[in-house]
Amino acid sequence: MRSWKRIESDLYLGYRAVAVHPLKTLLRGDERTGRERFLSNYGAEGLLPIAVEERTLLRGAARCIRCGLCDAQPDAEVTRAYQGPSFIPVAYTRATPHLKHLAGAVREVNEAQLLRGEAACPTRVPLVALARYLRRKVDELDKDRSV
Amino acid sequence: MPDVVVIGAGMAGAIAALSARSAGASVLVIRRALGATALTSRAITVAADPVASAGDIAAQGMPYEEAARKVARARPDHPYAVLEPKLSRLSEALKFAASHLATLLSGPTGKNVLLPTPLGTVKPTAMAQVSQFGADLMALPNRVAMVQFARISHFDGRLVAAGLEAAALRIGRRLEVRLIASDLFGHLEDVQRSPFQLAEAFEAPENLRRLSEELRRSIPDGVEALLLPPLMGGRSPDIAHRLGAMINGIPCFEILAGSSSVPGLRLQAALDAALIREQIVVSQVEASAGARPGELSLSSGGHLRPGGTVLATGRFIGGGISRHGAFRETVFGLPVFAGGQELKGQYLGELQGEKFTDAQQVFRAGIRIDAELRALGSTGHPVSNNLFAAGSVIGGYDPASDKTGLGVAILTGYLSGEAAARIGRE
Repeated sequence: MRSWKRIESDLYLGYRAVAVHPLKTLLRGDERTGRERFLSNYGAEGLLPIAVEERTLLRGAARCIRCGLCDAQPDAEVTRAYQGPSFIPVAYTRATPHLKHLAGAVREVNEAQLLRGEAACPTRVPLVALARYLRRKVDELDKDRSV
Repeated sequence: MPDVVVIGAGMAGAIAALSARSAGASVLVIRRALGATALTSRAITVAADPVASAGDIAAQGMPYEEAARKVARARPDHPYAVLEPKLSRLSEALKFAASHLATLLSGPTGKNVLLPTPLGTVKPTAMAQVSQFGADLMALPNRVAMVQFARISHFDGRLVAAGLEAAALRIGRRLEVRLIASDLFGHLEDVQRSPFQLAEAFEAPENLRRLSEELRRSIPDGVEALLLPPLMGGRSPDIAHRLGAMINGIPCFEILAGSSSVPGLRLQAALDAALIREQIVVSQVEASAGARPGELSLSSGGHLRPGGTVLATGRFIGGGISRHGAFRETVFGLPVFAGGQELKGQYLGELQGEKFTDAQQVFRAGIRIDAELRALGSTGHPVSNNLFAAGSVIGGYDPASDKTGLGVAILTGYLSGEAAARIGRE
């Protein structure tokens, strides 16, 4: 048996969907799609759309157990900007609001090093694909901001 | 076609390969990636008294074969219980492993030593790396110093020092552990470096010299040994010893490692080198069961039908056992057991205890073997006379917490390699 509060809130939602939203859309005078408006509001914060296949890729990042074996491979260098292969799954792919600050790090990534890290990784984190994903997102962010 | 294929190249797989080779078989090792062996503290834990309380430190220094038999009696699912008639070969197996890792390992001596961990505890250990073995709580001099690198936050020397002093009190001996701070890693980037990158810095003689000069100035009077974080060299096992020679011969020992284990990677490198010395090929591919019985399909496109196969794929970290809704053994689809039952999609909560100290069956999940180390099916019979298993793919124990991890790996690797060679050469 639904509570009266729940019925009330469902009715209000229905009212917004059926009456208010169509009227606002009609009277707004903004030809942009919802996606365009979202990006205009939030794109600069790094909240970019993530495609279905990218979400699948990010599940690979979630497999990271922070063992550091990728960091132990030869030439896995740390610089002021780039903190090492393990930071890609652990931090960089989760830091969408800070994407603009990661541009330097992402450019310093060496894919040959990451391949060695992948070969050592016990849990098959796709380091190279994640690095390429990050570069795409940084480029998308730059493109959005330049529009 | 090799006589024996070993799937997995951690401790269990490498020892199985070396054992099969020494029995005269031709051996191929297949490895997907690194696994738990590269991540362990490098204490070769064989067995500790299962009925002694955690605070009874003196009991943990008992002979490990005696402790293994106690484990077998107390835990009927444990591999030591399944292999109880063969426990008399435990020392032989450990000596075999030590002979192939002679430049890296010290021991076995017949009984456990008690080595300090980064968590402020001591761990009963049958063998350890030469740089670690001398840090035995029973053998340390009364006054030692613990080196702490300032700005390296993933290691707390105060915790180790306090833990060692408390453990010494419990066994009725005097021990004073002074803390010495080193500014060797003083740059901002050092804070971000992983233990592996810091350890690699000590491969450069210049850095070792700088550290020795700093320590010579700061070692308090009366200190007779130095304890060091487990960072002393990414590749060389003797850097702690060399440091001691540079500081008026004072003995220097590394403590055990936690996760991101530098000594762990040294051990894996030493195992890889042992395989190369014995001319055993290690192929980095994935294996799965082939279309025909006894056949293996490789991710490179090849197929193998070896005379004997040793499955040494590890557990959750190594990828030998996975769980996506239901537990599965990932190469042959063998049944997985825990808590005496075959796992077929049980709710995970049923396999866990609420208290940390409860028996956590989920972490003991794995396949079953018989006394000949043959992998068992659901009916309790071997799935094949030439499929053997070694290491943590076998269930009934928790390699991370019950102090038998590498002991099981070495014993089962040694015996399964021998058995696979016998079958493989027929």
